[in-house]
Amino acid sequence: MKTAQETLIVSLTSGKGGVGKTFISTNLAATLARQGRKVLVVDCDLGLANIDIMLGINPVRTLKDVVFGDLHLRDVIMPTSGGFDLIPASSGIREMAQLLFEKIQTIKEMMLELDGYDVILLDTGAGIAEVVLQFNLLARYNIVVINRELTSLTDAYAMVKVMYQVFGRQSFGIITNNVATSREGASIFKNIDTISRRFLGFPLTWLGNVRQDDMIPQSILRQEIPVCKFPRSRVAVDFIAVGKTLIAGKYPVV
Amino acid sequence: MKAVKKTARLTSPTPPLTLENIFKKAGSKPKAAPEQKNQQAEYILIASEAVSAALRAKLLPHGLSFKLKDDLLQRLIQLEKENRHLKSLSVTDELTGVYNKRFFSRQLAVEIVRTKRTGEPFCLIFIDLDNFKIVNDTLGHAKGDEFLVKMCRQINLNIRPTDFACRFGGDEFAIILPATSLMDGVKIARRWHELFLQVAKEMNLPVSSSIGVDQFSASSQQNAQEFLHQVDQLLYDAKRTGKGKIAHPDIDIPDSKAVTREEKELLYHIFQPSGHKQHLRKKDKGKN
Repeated sequence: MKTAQETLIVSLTSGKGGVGKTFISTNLAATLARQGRKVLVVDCDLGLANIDIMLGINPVRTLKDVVFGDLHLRDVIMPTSGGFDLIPASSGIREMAQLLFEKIQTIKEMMLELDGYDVILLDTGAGIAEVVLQFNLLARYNIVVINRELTSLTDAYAMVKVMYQVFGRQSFGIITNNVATSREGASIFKNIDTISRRFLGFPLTWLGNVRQDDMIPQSILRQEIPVCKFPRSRVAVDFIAVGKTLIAGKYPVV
Repeated sequence: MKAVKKTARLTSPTPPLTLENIFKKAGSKPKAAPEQKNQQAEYILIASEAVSAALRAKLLPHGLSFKLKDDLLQRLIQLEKENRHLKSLSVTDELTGVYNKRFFSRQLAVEIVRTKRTGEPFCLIFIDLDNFKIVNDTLGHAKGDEFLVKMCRQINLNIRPTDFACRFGGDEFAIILPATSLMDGVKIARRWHELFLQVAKEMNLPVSSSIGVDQFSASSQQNAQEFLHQVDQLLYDAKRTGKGKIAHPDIDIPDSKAVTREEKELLYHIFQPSGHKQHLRKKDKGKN
């Protein structure tokens, strides 16, 4: 049992939407849970939340009830088939963003009161809206998900740059998603790392690849978590490697 | 090398008495060139004692030299000093030492022009103290003034060297943040908010601050008055919805600006090595 202070709060962010952020967060959480860790995923995508859909669950209480109502975060936690806990969000509530902005400090305090978790993964929305930045700031470590698309690379770099320029963050992890080979992932990472070193003056950390697999799209359609359904697939192997690098990392104290 | 250089154009048709006096007291006549004989003197140069003799000779090509202990010169220097002091008085607030409203209006006009020219936005923070009237009414104006002085001392200690803090009078203040985006402006406003709370806490007063922040962008069509009104409205909103608040428009982070063209190009060209070469060639051509 960990106290809240020892919990590793990590945010998954991307800049561009549709790079597989939610896929990464659910599978990474499931992988860490399979290794016996207590993991909580918070769906922070307030505009278009969809973890619940990915997992095929229908939440009764969501983050909305914490922001609008007077529920504590722990009241809306629900277990999932992946072995990790989830705080779902509600889709399509536009006023949420502004309200959350005002309540973000309270939410942070609540999060620190959630005892017993080894890892809390914050699945942020796409883009670099203030709320996304605030969630990233709330996390101790920011993981930026990129894929082979040029725009994802640019948007990921924009995210890193904004977090650095606005909040002085200097340590970021990169996960290269949906790559054909390990080499392709390495070369994509090298691109963004080179630019970061050159223009921002610090290196990025590569947490690893998640390689393409034919079973992934079907698995998502069936609302399954691939790493649970196919623990021996290369996707599962990739996630184990990513999880290992993440857990072993040295994180700045906030 | 520090020279107090004062250039004064004498417009009266005859050389004024003072100039002649200076010449007489200095004990030397102006060795003017023949064609200049009938022309009136146009400039007076005052060199302070820090200026070397050699430089003084250079500054005065006609060989004029003044004795610096000269009474009249001393008076001139003194007057100049006083003039500067008066100038500073005319732009600072008497009680707190921050700039006054007159300076504010002038600087605001400057910043608007600067923003239009350079394209860089600036921010304006309006501050109104909460419960300040209660302090004045119950504990006396001396206590209120003491708070204002302490607060402004903190402002002067902590303000970014490029920002301007101004007192509008009473418990109203404004801070101009040149070349600052709204995002940074809000951050800085929060910092001031905390700092004022701290000062109030130290003095054990129930004072907090309501703040309105907004940015003036290069694309804005507003004039100074309209912009002031807009920020004032924000401050009013902050006050109305409960004290101790910071009101600002929604912040949109310019994502297209976040990544510069140069960075983007490099990101793309690393991706496509052939494009990189083309890019270089283009650049070379541009230089020639």
